[in-house]
Amino acid sequence: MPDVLARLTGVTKRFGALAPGVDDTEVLRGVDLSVAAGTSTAIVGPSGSGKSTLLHILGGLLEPTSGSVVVDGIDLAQQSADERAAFRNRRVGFVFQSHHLLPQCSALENVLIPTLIDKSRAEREAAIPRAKSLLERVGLASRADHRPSELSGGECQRVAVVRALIREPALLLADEPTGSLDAEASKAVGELLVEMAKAHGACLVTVTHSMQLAKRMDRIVELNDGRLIPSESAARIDTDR
Amino acid sequence: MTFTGLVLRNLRYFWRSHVGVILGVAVATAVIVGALAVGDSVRASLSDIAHRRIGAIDVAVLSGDRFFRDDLGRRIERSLPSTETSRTVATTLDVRGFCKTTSGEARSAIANVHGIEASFYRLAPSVRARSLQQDRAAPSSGKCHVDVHLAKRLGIEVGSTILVRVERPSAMPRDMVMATIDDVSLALRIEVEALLGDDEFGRFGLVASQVPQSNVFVALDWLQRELDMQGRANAVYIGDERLAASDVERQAQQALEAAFDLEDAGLHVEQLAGDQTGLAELRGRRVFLDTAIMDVAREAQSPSIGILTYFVNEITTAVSGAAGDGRSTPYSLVSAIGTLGAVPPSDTRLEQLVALAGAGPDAFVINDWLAHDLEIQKGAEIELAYYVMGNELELRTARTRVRVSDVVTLSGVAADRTLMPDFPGLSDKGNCRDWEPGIPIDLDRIRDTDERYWDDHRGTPKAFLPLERGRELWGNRFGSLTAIRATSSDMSRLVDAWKTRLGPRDFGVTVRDVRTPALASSTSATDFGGLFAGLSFFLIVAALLLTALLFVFGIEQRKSEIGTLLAIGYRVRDVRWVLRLEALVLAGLGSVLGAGLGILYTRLVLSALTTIWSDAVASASIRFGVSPGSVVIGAFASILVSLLAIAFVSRRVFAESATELLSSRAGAGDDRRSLTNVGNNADRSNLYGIVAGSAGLIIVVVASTSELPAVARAGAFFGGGACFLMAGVFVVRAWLGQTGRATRPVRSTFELALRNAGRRRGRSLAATGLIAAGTFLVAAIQSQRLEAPGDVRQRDSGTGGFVFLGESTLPVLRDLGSAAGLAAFGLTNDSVEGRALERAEIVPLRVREGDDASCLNLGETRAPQLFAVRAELLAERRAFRFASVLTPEKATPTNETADSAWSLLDADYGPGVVPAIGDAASVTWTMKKSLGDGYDYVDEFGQRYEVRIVGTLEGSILQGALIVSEARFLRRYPSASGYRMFLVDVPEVTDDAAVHRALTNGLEDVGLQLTSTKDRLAALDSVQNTYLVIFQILGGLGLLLGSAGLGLVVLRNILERRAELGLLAAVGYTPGDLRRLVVREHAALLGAGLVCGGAAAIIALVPTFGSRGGIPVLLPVVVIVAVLGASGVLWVVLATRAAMRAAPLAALRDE
Repeated sequence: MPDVLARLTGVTKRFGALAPGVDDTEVLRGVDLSVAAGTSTAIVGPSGSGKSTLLHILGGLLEPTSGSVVVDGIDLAQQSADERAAFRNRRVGFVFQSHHLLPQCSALENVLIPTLIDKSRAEREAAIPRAKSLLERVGLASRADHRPSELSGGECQRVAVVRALIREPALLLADEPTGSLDAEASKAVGELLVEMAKAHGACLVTVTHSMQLAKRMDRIVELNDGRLIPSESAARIDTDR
Repeated sequence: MTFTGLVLRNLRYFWRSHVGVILGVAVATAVIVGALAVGDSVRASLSDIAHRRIGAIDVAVLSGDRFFRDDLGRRIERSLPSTETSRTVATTLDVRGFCKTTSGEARSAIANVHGIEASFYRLAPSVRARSLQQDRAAPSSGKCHVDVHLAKRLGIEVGSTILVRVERPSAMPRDMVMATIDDVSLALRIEVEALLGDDEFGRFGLVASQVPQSNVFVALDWLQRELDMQGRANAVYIGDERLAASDVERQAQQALEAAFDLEDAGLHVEQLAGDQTGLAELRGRRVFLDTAIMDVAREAQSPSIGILTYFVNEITTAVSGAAGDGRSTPYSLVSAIGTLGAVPPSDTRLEQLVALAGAGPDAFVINDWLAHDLEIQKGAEIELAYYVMGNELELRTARTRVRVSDVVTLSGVAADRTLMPDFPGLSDKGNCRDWEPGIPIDLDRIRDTDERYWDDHRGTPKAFLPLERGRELWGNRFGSLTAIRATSSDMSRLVDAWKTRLGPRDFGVTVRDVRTPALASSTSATDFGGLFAGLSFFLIVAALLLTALLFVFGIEQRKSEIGTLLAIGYRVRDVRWVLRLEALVLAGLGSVLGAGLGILYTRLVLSALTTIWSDAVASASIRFGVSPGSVVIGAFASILVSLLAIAFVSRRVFAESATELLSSRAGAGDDRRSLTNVGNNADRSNLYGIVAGSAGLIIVVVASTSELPAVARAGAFFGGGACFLMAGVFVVRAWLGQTGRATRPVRSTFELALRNAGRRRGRSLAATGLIAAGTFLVAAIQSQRLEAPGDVRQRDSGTGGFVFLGESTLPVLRDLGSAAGLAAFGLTNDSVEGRALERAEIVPLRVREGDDASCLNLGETRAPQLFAVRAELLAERRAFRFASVLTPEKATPTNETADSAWSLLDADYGPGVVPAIGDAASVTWTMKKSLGDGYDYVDEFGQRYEVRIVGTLEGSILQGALIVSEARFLRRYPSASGYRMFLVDVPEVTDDAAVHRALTNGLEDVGLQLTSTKDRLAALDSVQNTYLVIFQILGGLGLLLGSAGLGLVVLRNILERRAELGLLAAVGYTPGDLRRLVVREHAALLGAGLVCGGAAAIIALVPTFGSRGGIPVLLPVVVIVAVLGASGVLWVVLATRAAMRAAPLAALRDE
């Protein structure tokens, strides 16, 4: 088995109650998950099962209530907020259901947004040809100067994928990346994600309701009621669907 | 793209939402810059006024009530280091007066009449300003130049004739027994030759005041002739363009000391003739020689004798009071003679004179003429009756019994007619019946034999006594010698000693740097920049709040963008920096725009200050003048506070996690926080509300039932109202908590609206609380309005119980408290007017010129004017209420009642300290002093002393001056003549108008102006009251601006609940239903704020109902609540319409 890139051990996550007298909501209940470098994993499960929460914990956006998260040898629980931000910036790429492109910036600028906080000017400038190259690879070279409002939903999501890859992350996390796209665009983006992750040697973890996308992954895990169903179940799901 | 590029891109893309931020900052900047510019304008105007007052004058040599030779200026000029072309020296004779038109229709209260020489105009402001190419020529003989302000008031022009009544200077202080007081003033009929603008010394004056002084300039020699003061002057003005005023002062001081001689001190040495040849005598124009002169003579090694010759009304053998049982001799001179110092006289004639007067306390020698006239011999007991000056300027007849120790023949030294000093109206008269001494004499009592004595012997004394005994009887504050006699050689040594030991200061001639204090006084006592910033507090806060809310509103629309940045690895501080830079650019743009608007705002405020708010600046003319520094400071301050406000309000955005920010559930955290622990908070709020309400109730009940001063009562009710306000806000807080957690089903859309109001409790409470607090402060501030007391006769009120306050231009040299004093002005019981004054009582005050330290003077006070009063007159009346006092024994302020506190004026606070009492507001705000602080003054003899503030009065008509003991004042200023201020007690049964008429008419010649104390207090109070009005207006504007913030709250709420509203639309709510739902929710918050604020304000205003009436007090509250309510509803409706323009259903699709 290739080297483990990320390992979640006994991860739980609780959210406070909205009203008095109501118990806290436990979204994740002792999740253990390992993902290997260079592989792709799909996390599936019903709505509210904690998929996105799991993904956000994996990417350092959320802290677990208990359990440990080690990514690329880094124990995220030991990291300060700034260190986690730097970790996200350098080691993780995020793609969301909504592209979250900055409407005021062009496609190319959106791709470069993660590099803007680099102190090194050389690094910032070095990112520009890489961004252009990536946009070219996703077929958006001619749209590099267009703003999100001038792009289609699929194009915007492709830009978002490129933005996630601009730092050449070890871990690419996608949260329902095709959820807001039509079938054709979904297919294209799905392919792009897998292809780009492979091309860059990134480990891809995607949360999705789409089995079509999930099947493209090396591995499928299911999350149900905050618990991971064993892999054989996932295999069964794979077969059933 | 760079980090900065991202910021710029953001700014450009979100420009629409940024326009509001820029405008908000612009308003805040405009108000701050405007406030500072108002301060600049006041300072610039005061500086202008200061320059126009003193022109190019650096230094003044002043002698006050004494007069030096009018060539002293030229002698000083010659003694100055070198003749500089840049230097100008001008000598003047300055007297007080008042003027009126020939028809008598218009008159000035006070006019300073200046006899000037041509060089005076070379010191005019126009010379420095170079605005006039040619100096104005001095006035022609018998004509005058009048300042344009006075001309305007009198309605006169060039060629008009005016009547000027001036104080007739007297060589002898008017308070001196023998001084003439019936010719105290002189009426001059003068043609106006020219009108002087401000740059031509139209505003000339040494006293700091923004009110133009009335000035009349005439030719020096003409005025000297008219006043019978030939060759005399009392001021020399020096200006040197090249030197600093302090250098000019130093040089002038040295030059004055070199140039000054005894003649300038009104002294002259006369070589005696005839039998007295070889002897010389020192005499003075003031008749009495200053004590310092005698002291030097006593200490000198040169032998001399002192002579004190006094005018005795009657020498009689009769028993005092029993008329007709003895003989008497009227109007005689009696000389007291004795050796000065330890060295006996070196001349036999002097020895004989001393011997003539005898020695010992019982010596009293008369000449044989008197012995014959009284038919008495040695050993007879006689009584001398003579006038002495009483405390209240009343001539009191004193009597002394003596036994004749010897009778000498009227020959030899006993026939020395030169022993009589130069009594004005006496020594120069050919016969007795022409006598016009300053004292009342009955010429009918002069017999033929007296006339013959005068013809044969003039004023030869009829009796002699030792000097020490004479000084005991007749010595007074002006001196106790009328002449010093010595041999000519001894006299010249004495003159040297006087010149060496005594300087001009000892004779009241002082050098004053007038430029430095004038420029310093142009620093406003009140920092108008700070004041207007304070008055505009609400406006600034409202603009900043709006700015911050608009900015945050913009940020909230970009929450997912922030979430994205955080997700891709930006640290919170990176995102903050992006937003901060955006805010900085917006604040910068807003401040640039605001600086321009600030100039317009300044002009608007200045226009109001010269019209509707003119009372706030005591009707001073304020010109526009703003320094670039103020604009820059205002702009930067605005940027800074805007950024702080933005940072404060936007801190909540970063409380949400990136996950929340990214999700469509942005704001869920707020919901969660708001709904958590609601129950506990509601319980606590109820408890706090009960505590605050109870505190308010206790304060109001205690204040209603206690005997509190009006100010304290108003303060208590204001505090009570504030407690009720807090209670109200806590009640609203608890109510919002309860509606938020209510479990009962919602039964109407209105209930749903209320339930919604409780969802974002913090936001809702902030809106309600701000509206309530703003309404309360702006409406209730009028409780601090100062009101004249209902009964002016109330002793512990600001009037002191006095009905009128009188100020005379010329000193009144009579005791107006006595029948005789009033009779001197024709106010006898025989006349209707005299009868009107029968029961009125007058407390006279002496006045020492100085800076007006009342709130009517905008400039800084360097040396406040002094009022001198006999403390017992105020103590026995328990006049005024004391704020606090500092007794000599205690180091900390205490409270004393008026009867004991006034006595502190006579208490001993240590050597060189004169205790003073001042109005608390003047002391604190204008003088910027507190109890125990003091001012350094220089007395008539050039001695520095401290006037220490030992007591303060609450809101009194005596604002603007320090009140000192008359006795102490006279020791410092013995030459100060008469009274110029009067507090008039009028019993209730007396017709006030009749008293006013009687005094005004009777004392017209001294220019008495009588003001009702109520009007005086109202004029002083109008300054503070106008500030309150300004605060209310600017605060009201701030509230109106702030009410726009409610619209923003509406927008935020709607945008956060778009999906919910979409759902309601989906289930059949019409757009009208949705709008009503939103409007009702926010109108409820607005209404709660207005009710809390308005009700609390009414409670605070309860004490003012009595004095001002319910409607005048309540009307502003109602107007504020109504206008604010209307404005708030308007913003709510507009915001609702704007937010609902996008179909709520679209939000569902977004979800």
